[in-house]
This record gives sequence, structure tokens and C-alpha cells, in this order.
Amino acid sequence: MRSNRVLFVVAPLVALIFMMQLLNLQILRSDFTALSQRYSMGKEEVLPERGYIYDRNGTLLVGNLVSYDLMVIPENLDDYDILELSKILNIPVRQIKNSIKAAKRFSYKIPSPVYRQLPDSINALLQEQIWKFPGFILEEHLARDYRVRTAFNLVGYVNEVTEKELNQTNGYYTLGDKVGRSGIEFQYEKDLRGGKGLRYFRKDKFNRDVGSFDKGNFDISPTNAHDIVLTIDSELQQYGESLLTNKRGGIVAIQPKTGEVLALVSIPNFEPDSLRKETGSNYLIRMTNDTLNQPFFDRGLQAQYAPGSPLKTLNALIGLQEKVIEPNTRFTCNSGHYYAKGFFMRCLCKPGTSNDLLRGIYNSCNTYFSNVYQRIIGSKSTPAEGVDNWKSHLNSFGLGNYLGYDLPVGRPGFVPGSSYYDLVYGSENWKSTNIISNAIGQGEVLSTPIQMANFTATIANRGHYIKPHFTKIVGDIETSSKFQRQYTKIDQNHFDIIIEGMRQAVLRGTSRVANIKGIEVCGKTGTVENFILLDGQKTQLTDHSVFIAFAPKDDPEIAITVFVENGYWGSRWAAPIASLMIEKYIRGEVSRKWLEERMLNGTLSDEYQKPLLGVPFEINQ
Amino acid sequence: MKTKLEIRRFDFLSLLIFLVLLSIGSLMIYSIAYSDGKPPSLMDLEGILGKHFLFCLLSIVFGVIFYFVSIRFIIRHSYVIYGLSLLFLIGLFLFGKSISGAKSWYDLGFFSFQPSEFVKITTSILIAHIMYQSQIIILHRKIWWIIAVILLPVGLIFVQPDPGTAITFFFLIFMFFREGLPIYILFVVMSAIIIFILALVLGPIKLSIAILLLGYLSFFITTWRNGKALRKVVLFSTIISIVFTFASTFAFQNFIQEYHRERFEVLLNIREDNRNIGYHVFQSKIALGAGQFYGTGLLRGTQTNGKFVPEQHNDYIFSAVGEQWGFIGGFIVIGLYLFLILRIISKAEKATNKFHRVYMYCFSSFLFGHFFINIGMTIGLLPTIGIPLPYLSYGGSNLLTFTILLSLYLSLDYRRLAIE
Repeated sequence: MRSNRVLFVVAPLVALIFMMQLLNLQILRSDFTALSQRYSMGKEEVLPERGYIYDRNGTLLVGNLVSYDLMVIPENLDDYDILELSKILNIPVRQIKNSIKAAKRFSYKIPSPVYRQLPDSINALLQEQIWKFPGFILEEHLARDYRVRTAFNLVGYVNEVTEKELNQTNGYYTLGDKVGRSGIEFQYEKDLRGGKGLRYFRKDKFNRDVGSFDKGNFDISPTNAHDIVLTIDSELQQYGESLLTNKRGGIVAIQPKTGEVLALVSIPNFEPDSLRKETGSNYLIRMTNDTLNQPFFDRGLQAQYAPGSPLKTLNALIGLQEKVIEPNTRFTCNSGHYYAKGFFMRCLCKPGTSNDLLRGIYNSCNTYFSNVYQRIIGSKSTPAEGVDNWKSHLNSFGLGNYLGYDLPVGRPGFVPGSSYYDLVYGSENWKSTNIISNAIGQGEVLSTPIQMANFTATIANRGHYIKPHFTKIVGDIETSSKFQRQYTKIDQNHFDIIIEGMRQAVLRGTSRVANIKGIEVCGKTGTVENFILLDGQKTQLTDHSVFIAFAPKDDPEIAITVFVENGYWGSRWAAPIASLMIEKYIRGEVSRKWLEERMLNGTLSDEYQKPLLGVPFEINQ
Repeated sequence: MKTKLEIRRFDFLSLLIFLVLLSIGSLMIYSIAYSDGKPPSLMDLEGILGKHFLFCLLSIVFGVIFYFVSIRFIIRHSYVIYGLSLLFLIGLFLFGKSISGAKSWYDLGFFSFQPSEFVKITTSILIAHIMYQSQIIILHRKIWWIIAVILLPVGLIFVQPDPGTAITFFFLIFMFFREGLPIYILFVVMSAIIIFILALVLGPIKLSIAILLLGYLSFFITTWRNGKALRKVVLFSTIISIVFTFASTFAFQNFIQEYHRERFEVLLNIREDNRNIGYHVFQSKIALGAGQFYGTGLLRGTQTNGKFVPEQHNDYIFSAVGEQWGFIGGFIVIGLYLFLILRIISKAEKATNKFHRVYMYCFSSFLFGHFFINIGMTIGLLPTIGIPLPYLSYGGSNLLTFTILLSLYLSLDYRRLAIE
């Protein structure tokens, strides 16, 4: 009998096996321990508030504001009036029902969105009445707040990362993160966003947060986002934007001493907070597809125009440097001249005018500068060498390259060299007369407004420029040291006569409208012929109105380029606008209200309509 | 002098183990109920802690009452109370409340009453009574009476269907072993289980080939040894084994319900599934793994707090012990059960009365059955069979049943010299 006490043997055996399995699960094997951490610990990113953007005077341009999403937690849903909710939200009942259905599919316990980024009016209503809708909550998050509605082309905008980008950015971003898309927001993304922190929390099986993990000992605090101080003067910028209203064009104003860009105006422009306010990305799509106004096209940085007459100042400098002319070198103009047999270049001078360099500049004499240009090209043994030498001089003014400023967009412009002309005309099959248009800035040379503003600043500085830039301070670091001084290949002593010419242009030449009592403005107008392809035919449009200027003459504070597309004479639009900008910047206010009025109210929309109407039209009226 | 002697005979140690296990269970249920962020209230009779507290009080009260009930009275009415308990089982088919597919409960408002638990008491008493009355030894004709007494409730419970509770009755085989059931039956049962499992893992055809080879080999060995009788046994058992291989596989595929099949298959790694049927055990193992050697400490278990283990207060309560008190805690709990089981059967051996011994063996068999199936399942050694762990798990009927079983045991043990 006693031998049959099986339980006496079996029970200890079973207990032993159980203990061995426990030993195995709890001590020997680490995989279940590791799993427990993965299953019950949540990781949450802590985003620092995106950096602020200030203008040079400390005015806050871009901050952040709290914006609300309407979320639903299906578990907490109870009786509510869906019609009333639909009325408040101004969306169909079906859409609310669909959102709730989708939310239920996702999770009963975790909030899902019903309406993202509630417009302020709806939010205000909902905040008071949210108690009527059990299960619905308002979730806040930060969005960009554009305190001063200006310089959007420069500041840029932010947008949620796309799923495609998540894989391309080394895993920094997660879905829902905002990322800078253009302008400063893009260029200084890393500074503005700061570094994400991490918070570990314990979660239950519904993935709900049930408190921080180990009292937050493992948490990583976020690194601070950097604020950015721009070089922009927001008042000047806004003023420029209002002056260009109903026109197309760009304004670039630079402080010559520092290379700091004071204003970068591009009209038409987009409004980044409309991106946020309009649901979805309708606005973005609409703006991107607007091929007529091209609001995302920065006309200060990306538009490549022929520089027109302002290039004469550089040709004069090159002529002096290459010793092919002197200040008192004279050429006679007969309302133009034959630069080759049968080829006449018109000029506005009266027949028989004898111009020296000074007069040549302030009267903008085409004849004078084509002679200078011919001499420059002829100064070397072959035209090819002559052109390449001329090109290298222009390059030293920053033409033909991106300038190295701190914004993500730009164009290099173009300065033709011998290789280009060899390609066009055949090797050594061309001479200065073929390329004479370069003398007056109507040839193959292309430049952007910022390049023109830059060479204007170079003239103002008498021979050097500091790489233009848009930020003064990023975080704690002053960025100015990064932007070095660049010297041109022109000796300093040649500049005075050119500057005097530009001064005279304002006093009694082509740019008299730009004259401001008490401020020594130096300027040079341009009227740029331009062509487009219309129905496959090269069609000339009304000239672009362009003006470069700096002031005051002896201690320049501002150098400016104004480009108004199809504005005709440089003195009609560009020169007054530049003059008003200079006065505004130096004096803080504008005395010539009549001129300001004319610029503010002036519109060129008729001009822009012409090529679109499909009927023959007249230009330069 | 008399009172002194009597006090010494009272099994304080078993009572102490009972109270310790009850306390551990209560702490675990407290920690499981805690995880909503605020401490659960004892007084909240809607919450599991409040209910558990009430069950504990109720069980102790009933335990005390049953301790003082006359054994003679119980024996005299053993048929009646057994019959009554069967009536309750039958009544389930008419009035029972269906919980997760099984009609095992009477709904008494705040408390669900599970008669299949209480049948354990009445069955134990009746078996002990019959065995005592007829002084039968095993293989006596009256053994069929006893088998019927067991199979009647088993059948009724099985069709509820609650196969988990039904299976626990088969652990009464340990009582039969004690009462003379030949030990080779154990080997037959073990072989049958092994063949069944191998048939599932290898498939019946492969296994049959293996059995044939083994039988062939044994046949020659026995020939060589010139054992004629042994040869017959080998031949017989080989044929039986092969028949059983196919029969059990066929029965498994056709008569066992899909979800039970899945549980076996998951356990045997034939089916990998951590999301559906394997989820419970998977989460239970993770909780145990999180405990490591010392455990996370009470209320600090990430898995318990996060409510990752389904039914943790019920069938998986051992995983809460394992997570919060680690290997040490698990070791101690297993040790306590082992000690209690061995204590009861060693007391049974000292009994002077067959009724006492059989009853105590029945009790320890049930206790061992629950211990074996529940912890075996929680630590992933056995398929998922949902039965509670006595004294630890939440659940009134089970706690009350095992408290009464213990109380009767204490009463019988105390009165072992008093021959009735």
C-alpha cells in the first residue's frame, strides 16, 4: 500500500519542473524581460517650441500660437446632437460620422482627429460648447504665428513632413512634425527646430499613458530651439511690398558696409498663414499652380533679367581699369551711331552731343558705352581674350554666381565668355560688334536683382562688397563673420568718377525723379527690352523698369535695386520706388506724399493682361 | 490535560499556509486592481478588490461553520447532498447564465454561483463514504459505483461545456493509486499522453513507423532473452499503441472543439500565434520575464500595471506574483502549495479511519490538479485551460469550495482519534 503513494512522488516532481521553468523564464532567458520593456514602455518625443524670427530692430515677425484640433475618443462617446456639431463645424454630418468610424477602427481609447486646425471662429464657439459633445476634445498644438504680415518669400513657411521624407531624413522626423519648406524656415531648419527630447512613460495595454517611467530618470530634455534675428528692416520691407502692390517685380536693399540685406521684396507673394487656415493643402496647390503670378518665385533672388543701363557703370569701371578710357575721354553721339556697317544703335542724346565719361553716365549715352566696350574687347590681342578679361571683371562684382547668401533659392545669372560666343558664332568667327549689346546691358548678360543690388553696394563701397546675407544672429552666434569681404579687380580710385556720374544722373540726368532734398542719392536708371515666346513667336513686351541707387553718396547706408516688370522707363516706376525706399530707410518717413500715392495706387495689371488676351497689342506706351 | 492535547493536534500549519496564500492572493488582486492609477477601495463592492474581500470573509465564515458541523451528520446525508449538487448542475441547463459560451453559473445578482466547484466537496464526501462503508479495495465490483459517482458530475460539467473543471476530477486517480490501483495504470496513462502528443507533433504515420520499429526491436530482444510472456506483451502493446495513435489523432481532429485544438497546437509549437489564442500565455510569460529574480516590487510591475495579461486576477494571478515578487515569490508560492499538498497526504496516512484518508486524498488530489493545471498553463508548460488557482485567484465559488474542503480536512484531522 505505501508503495502506491504516487502523489508523494509526482507532486514534488511537478513542483521541481515548475521551478525550473520559472528559473528559465525569469533568469536564464532575457528575451521575455526585454519584451516586457518593449510592451509596456512608451517613448514620446518632446518638441521644443520652434524658434522665433525677429527683424533687425527686434520686432517679432514670426512666433508661435496655439491652434486647436477637434479630436474624438470613441470610448467616451455618448448621446449628442450631431446636427449641431455639424452646424458649428460647418461640415456635413456624413463627414463627422466617417471620422468617428475611422477613429473606432484605429482605437477606442486614443484620440483621433475629426477636424484639424480649427479656424478661430469655430474654435471660440466650440470651446464654450464642447461639454455638449461627450467624447470630443480639443487638442492644442503650436502653429506658426505671423505677427507682422511681411517678407513671406524670405521667411518661408512650414508644413508637415510627408511620409516619403521620413525615410530621407535619418529618422529625425516623425509623422506630424513640421518642417521648414522655404526661405529662412528651410535654411535654418536645424536651428529653428532645436533638438527633440525624449520622454519615457509607462503604458497599459491600450497604449494609454499611465505616468512617467522611473520618475523621468531616463528622459532626455529637448535642446533649445534657436531664435533668429534677420537683417531685414520689417518696416522698410512692408513699405516696399506696399509700393509694389499690383505690379510684378523685386526690390533688394543692402546695407553696403555690412552686406546685410535690409529688404527683399518679391511681388506677388504668398501668405503662409493661409496654408494653415485653409483646410488641407488647397492653398498650397493653388499657389503652386499659379503660373502667371508665380507667388513662390522670388523675384529678388530667382528672376534673371538683362541688367540694362546700370551695367554701363561697370563697363565704365572696367574701361578705366583697363586704361582704354580716361574720365575726360570723349565720344560724339548723333542720336546714336553706326557701330558697324549698316548697324545703327539709337541713343537719346541730341545729334552732335559730345560726352565725356561723366555726361556719358548721367545721360546714359549708348554711343559712349558701345565705344568703351569696343575698346575693352579690343584691348587684348583677340576678342576672345578681351571678352574673357571683361567677364572676369564682372565676375569679381558677383555677377554670374550665386553670391553665397543664406537662403535656399537663387540663380547665378549669366556672364558670357569667349567659349559661349565660340559656340554661338563658331570659333573666332565673331568680334566686338557682334556682342555690342553687352555695352548697354542688353546682350547676353543676365543678372538677378540681388546681384544688381550687390554691385550697387560694391560701387558704394568703392570696390568691395560683403557677401549679402539675411541673418544677423542665429541663436547666440552672430553670423556676420561668416560673410567675408570680397574685392573687385577695379582699383578704388576709379570709383569716384562713376559715383559722381550716378549722382549727376539724379541731379540732372535720367533719374531726376529719385532726387531727395538733403540726401545725396546716386542712381542709374535702366529700361530693359525683353521678349517672350508667344504662340511660338519671339514677341517683345513693354520694357522692364529698373533702377539702382545708393545713398548717401559719401557714407552709404543703403544700396538698392528695384525691378518692375514691364514698367517701361526706369524713371517711371523703379526710380520713384527706390527713392521712396531710401527716404523711408534714412529718414523713417516719406515727405513726398504725392509720389508715394502714385506708386501705391499705380497698377500694371493691364500691362500683364496684354500677352494673355490673344490679340495684337502695343508696347511701351 | 485533555484540551492541551487537542490543541496540539489541530493543524495550525495548514491553516497558516491557507492564510498566507489568501493574503498573497489579496495583495495581488489589490495590485491588479490598482493599475487604473488610484488605489482600489475595499468597500467598493463593484470593484474586484471589494468583491474579493467579501468572498474572503464569506469563505472564512463558512469555513468556521463547516469546521463545527458534525462529521457524522455529513456522512449520514452524503447521498442527499451529492444528489442535490447534481440537481444544481442539471438546473444549469435551464437557469444557468452563459459566460463566454459556457453555462456554468447561476446569476445571483452581485454574485455568480458555480455549482461545479461545490460538486468537488460533495463528490469527495460521497466517495469517502462509499469507500469507508464497503471497505472496498480497488477492483472490487463496487468500484464501478465510485467511478459512476465521479463520471456523473464530470459528464454534466463537460457538456456545459467547462472541460477545464471536468479535467480536475481526473486527478482523483491519485486517490485510487493510494487505495490500490496498480501502478502500471500510471505508466499506461503516461504512455497514452506521450503517444497522443507525439502523434500531434510528428503525425500518426511517422509515429506508427517509429512504434513498429521499437516493437520489432523489443520483440527480438525478448526472443533473445527467451521471455515468451513478455513477447506477448510487446506484441499487444505495439498494436494497441498504433491503434491509439490513429484513434487519438482522429478523435482530436473530429471530436475536440476548434478552440481547444488550437490551445494544444499552440503549446506544442505546431501553431505560432501570439496574437489570438497564444496571446494570454505570451503576455503571462512576458510578465514573468519582467519579474526576473527579485521582482519589480508590489505595484511596480509594468505588465501588471498596464493590464497586459488578460484575466490576470483570475486564472493568471501567478503571473502577477512572478512579476512583482520575481523568482523568489514564485518559488515560495510553489513551495507553499507543495508543502500543503504533502502535508495533507501525510496527515491522511496518519488517519485511523478510511473515510478520513480517502477524503483527504480527494482534497489533495483536487488541490494538486488545480495547482498543476493553473501554474503549468501560466508558465507556458500546459495548454490553456482556464481554472483558478485555489486561495490566490479571484472568484467566490472556487475560494469558498477550497476553504470548505480545507475546513473539513482540519476538522477530520482534529478528530482523527474520535472514531465515529
